[in-house]
Amino acid sequence: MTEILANLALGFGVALQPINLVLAFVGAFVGTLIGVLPGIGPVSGIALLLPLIIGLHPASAMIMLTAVYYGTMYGGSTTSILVNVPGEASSVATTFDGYQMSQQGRAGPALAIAAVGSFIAGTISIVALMLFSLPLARWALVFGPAENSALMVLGLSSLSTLAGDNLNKALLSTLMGLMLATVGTDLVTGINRYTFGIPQLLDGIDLVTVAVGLFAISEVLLVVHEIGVQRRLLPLQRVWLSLKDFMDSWWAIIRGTVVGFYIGILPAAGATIASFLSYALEKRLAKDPSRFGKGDIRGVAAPESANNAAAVGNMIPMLTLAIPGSSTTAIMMGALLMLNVLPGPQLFTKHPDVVWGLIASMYVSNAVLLVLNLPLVGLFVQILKTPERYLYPLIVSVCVIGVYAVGRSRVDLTLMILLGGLGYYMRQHDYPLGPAILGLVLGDRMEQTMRQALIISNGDWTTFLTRPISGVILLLAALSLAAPYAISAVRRRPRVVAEDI
Amino acid sequence: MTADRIAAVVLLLVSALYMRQALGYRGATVADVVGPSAYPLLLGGLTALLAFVQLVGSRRDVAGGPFWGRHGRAVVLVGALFAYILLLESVGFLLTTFAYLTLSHLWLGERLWWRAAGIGLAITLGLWFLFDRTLDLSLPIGWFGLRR
Repeated sequence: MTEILANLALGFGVALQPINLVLAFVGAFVGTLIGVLPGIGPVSGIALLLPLIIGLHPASAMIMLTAVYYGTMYGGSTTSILVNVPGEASSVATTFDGYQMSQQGRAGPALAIAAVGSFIAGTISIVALMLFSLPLARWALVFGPAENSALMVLGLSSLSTLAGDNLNKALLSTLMGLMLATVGTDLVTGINRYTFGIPQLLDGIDLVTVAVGLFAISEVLLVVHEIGVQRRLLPLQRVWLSLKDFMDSWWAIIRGTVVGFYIGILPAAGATIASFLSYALEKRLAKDPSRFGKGDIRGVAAPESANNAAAVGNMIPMLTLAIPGSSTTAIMMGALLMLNVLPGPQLFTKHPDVVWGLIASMYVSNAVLLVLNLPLVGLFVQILKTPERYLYPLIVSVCVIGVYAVGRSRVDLTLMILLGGLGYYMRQHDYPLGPAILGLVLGDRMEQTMRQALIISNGDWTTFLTRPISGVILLLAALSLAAPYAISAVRRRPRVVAEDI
Repeated sequence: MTADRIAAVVLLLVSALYMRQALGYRGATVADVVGPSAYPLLLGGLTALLAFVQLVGSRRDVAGGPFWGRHGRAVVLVGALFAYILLLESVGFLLTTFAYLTLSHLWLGERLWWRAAGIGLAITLGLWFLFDRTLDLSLPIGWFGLRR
């Protein structure tokens, strides 16, 4: 316990440095903006900010990105409640009762409980994160290359299972990401693979280019067909919360936190699933389930707490095992790799300031968002009134700037457009995009660990199955791939929204 | 032929080319027993397998409607984007972005040309000051020889 307190003191020492506080404020503001804007989701939003963090201290960079991540979640719930447009998949469940509340003139309490619930959930799950992550990281220290590559297989396969309706397509998306990761110089032999004589490809295809192309550009390509539809904005009153509203929501918040945190830890089950599950749980536990969907405040409190808790839980596999559980954490891990910080068990010993600074900054971000967003919610709503014919060209220009900033080359921009076209096709034909990003982020390390394992075993491929921990992990991966078939044999799977996972 | 089947055929071709290319990668060091081609071959093989499953198993029909009605605007936007990035470095950020934004505003339904251009100019300058001057990302200068 004293060890955790000492670490926490170290973390707050980092997070409360003036420069890092400023970054947390800026990140929270920009993140909320991204969350409110349609078209730029958390994945492409964070990716676009990556060029800006080069040169920052890794701890500062993570603090800013965490604040952005949190901000997008707040922004997403704001639009869910006010205009029935979830800024991202994890706030879809909030629209069910949130929009109803605002139509009944109770937008104020809805926004307030979303903020307060998120704050409580975030705070509780950060404590849990501290308790869980250190033992897990210590346990994972004994993992060799075979175990690590098996873990990556598990991460990729379970994400593919949960993303979208068609497992085959999700796996193809994963493989596409893995294949894109093989472009560039092979680190072991120094051979250039799939570079086709283009010097800009020697370092591989940049994560920013892929994330912006696949997510942001494809989104804009989709929406240009629908421009001209007017949104109706309701007048917004003061954001406040009565004691009764708070007491009504208390248990929904606590249960949402527990559900969200555990779902968040599981590889690949992210904030989206957590928010839907906790909504369903509240509805089932309620004495009068018929009120849900008609503006029940618990229907806002539960999913909002759950998606925040899941966002924290998601950090555990990313930080301790280097297996991100969602596209967003995959991007954050990509950011760490860009800054030459390797996540995984050694992170806790080699870069304690990054880990504990990040954990402390989650507290800070929570507080910053609470004081920043409740007064400013009116301002953010104004952004929604911007006509789309101005908004989307602006988003495209920001994408061009962001991708150009990475490598200052037309090659990256060309790839961005091509990947945008690919993402457009994939979105229209049910290929989930998340697995491709995870594949790209994990690809390099997956190949390295596999080859190291084979060097140790002298080229014997059965080493992955005969080493006990690695064998068990691969068995779990196989089970996760077989699960959908087993379940669909019993009943049709409910459709899961695929943006976040 | 459904869209999924066409995609499956394309993926089969891509994976075949990907694996053919991988076969050419040699240069194993003494310790590195599998060499640089084994992993790409594994990925290519899995992709081919899954694409084959999709080719055989796909039953769904293509969504109706003429191609241009459904994808016309996206195609135009992709074309505009290529023009944008092609001119970005030679003509410079300010002019290309201003032109791109103004034309996009008009294309997406702005009726008044001066409003399209005015807002385009304001956004261009805003982006320039934010990214080039404040965040120091140094965008292409092009025809304007402005020195900092």
